[in-house]
Amino acid sequence: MHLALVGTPNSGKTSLFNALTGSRQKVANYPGVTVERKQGGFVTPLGRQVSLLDLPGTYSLRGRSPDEEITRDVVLGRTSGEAVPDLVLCVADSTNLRLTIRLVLELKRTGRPLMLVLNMFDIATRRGVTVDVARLSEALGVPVVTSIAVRKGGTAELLRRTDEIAAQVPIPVQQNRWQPLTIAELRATQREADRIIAATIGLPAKPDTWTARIDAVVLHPVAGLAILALILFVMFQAVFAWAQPVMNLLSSGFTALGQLVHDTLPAGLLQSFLQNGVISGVGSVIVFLPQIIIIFLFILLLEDFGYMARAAFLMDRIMGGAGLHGRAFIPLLSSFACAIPGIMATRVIDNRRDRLTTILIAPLMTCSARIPVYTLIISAFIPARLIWGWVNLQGLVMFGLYAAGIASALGCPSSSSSSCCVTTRRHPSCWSCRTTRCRAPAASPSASIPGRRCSCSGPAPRSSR
Amino acid sequence: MTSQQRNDARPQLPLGSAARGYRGVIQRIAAADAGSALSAHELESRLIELGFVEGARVEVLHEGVIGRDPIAVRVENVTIAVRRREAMAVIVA
Repeated sequence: MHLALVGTPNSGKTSLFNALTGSRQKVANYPGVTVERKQGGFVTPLGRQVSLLDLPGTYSLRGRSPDEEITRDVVLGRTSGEAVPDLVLCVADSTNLRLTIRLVLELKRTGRPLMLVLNMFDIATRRGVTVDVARLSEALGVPVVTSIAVRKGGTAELLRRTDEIAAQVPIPVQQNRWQPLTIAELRATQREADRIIAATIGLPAKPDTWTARIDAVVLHPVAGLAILALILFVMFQAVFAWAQPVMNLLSSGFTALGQLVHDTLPAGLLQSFLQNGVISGVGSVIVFLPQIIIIFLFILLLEDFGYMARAAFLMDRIMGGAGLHGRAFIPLLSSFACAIPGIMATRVIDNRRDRLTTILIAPLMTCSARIPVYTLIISAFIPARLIWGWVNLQGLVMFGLYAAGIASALGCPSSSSSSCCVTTRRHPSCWSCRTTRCRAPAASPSASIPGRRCSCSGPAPRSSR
Repeated sequence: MTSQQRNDARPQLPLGSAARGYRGVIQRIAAADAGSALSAHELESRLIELGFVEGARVEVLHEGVIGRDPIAVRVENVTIAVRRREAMAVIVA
């Protein structure tokens, strides 16, 4: 039996996927696109084997980006090589049902068997959201279950209903009547969704105060930037300094291993190949592993706490002025320590062109390996003099080199370059982002590599200002 | 006084011009007027998908540090961050 998980971004889809499949997951790519394909398997209480596919988050089946096209194609059964899902699970954030109900109404048109999963139900109950599940199910015409993906046993109801539906073999499938929605149809669907919500769901009297309070500080012009600077400073320190001892250990370990090969094998092609080729080559890549792990850990934490979207909000104008995406500040900042984890960190940027731009300019930031070179050359060629009585000329030149690196990095994307194959004069794509409430990350080790969590809009270069 | 009467009396303005703390109700989407590079059709579709429909209540919660851009808007009970340029397509009162 094949199941597929569909839902808006940040609905807890991946947590549900992890809770159901545990460690029985396979991560690959869809053929021909750089979209992650996550498939897993689990067994229902009645012993049924189920294959589960975690599809990229989307707001509708319109297919604005490669991710959303994949979701649309898999649900409609257009992807060759992919089994058509026998049941589509639409996962919703129970505190934010407005957009998901509209998605459910759109999914109904495809005719595939559907089930709505109200995830994060414990948070919704705690916030005072009341859901009349039976009435909602009746109004929508699809079965509705609640789930708490991060709690043990929170998916029991979901598994039970899956068994029930699977028992009706074959599962009734209706005809596919889905067409890309016109604007009028989109409006009508949203109105219908709002009407259903008004009839079946009771919202709390006042909005989430915790998040509002945190946002008042974090998005404050002065305090917000100070907090951001502090977090970036800690991250920078971590990548720069804390990884150093482990890196030295790895480096000396590989050198020792190379020496062992040198002493054991007779001189010749094999020894040179192993020592200078394999061990040295693989070693110089693995030496960067501690830095990469640290930066991925920070990105995971920021993403899970919900801080990433807020930081992008603060930095957007600065980055936008340079023609970059708001989320480019983390890779660029990390490039001051080392460009390699910085470039790997660009995966937080969804838009392919923005990501490529950031990757290309990341090495322009003065990385830490250049410091000894700068110091040596400066002390050799620049006289140790004081300018204006108190400014050290050598220090000034060092600062100038850093500033030149930053200026070239920020000036590159925004300057027109008709010979550049990647970008011509462009500005960051239309960007809108749903800021989720701040939340504590789940304690379970469901750490997936940070991907498309923030629901940023897809690519569309603006015309020049 | 019904909310409709109240809205008729208040001046209409694009959401992109609204100051922080502004509260209103969406009157219509005028995607062609916004200076976004997206086609009017695409911009309008995206705005509706994010919940910007006529009759939805909006409140401007926060604005960016530099140039007061972007803005964080609560639409019903969802908080969306948009650039002012794209928000000019949403007419509120």
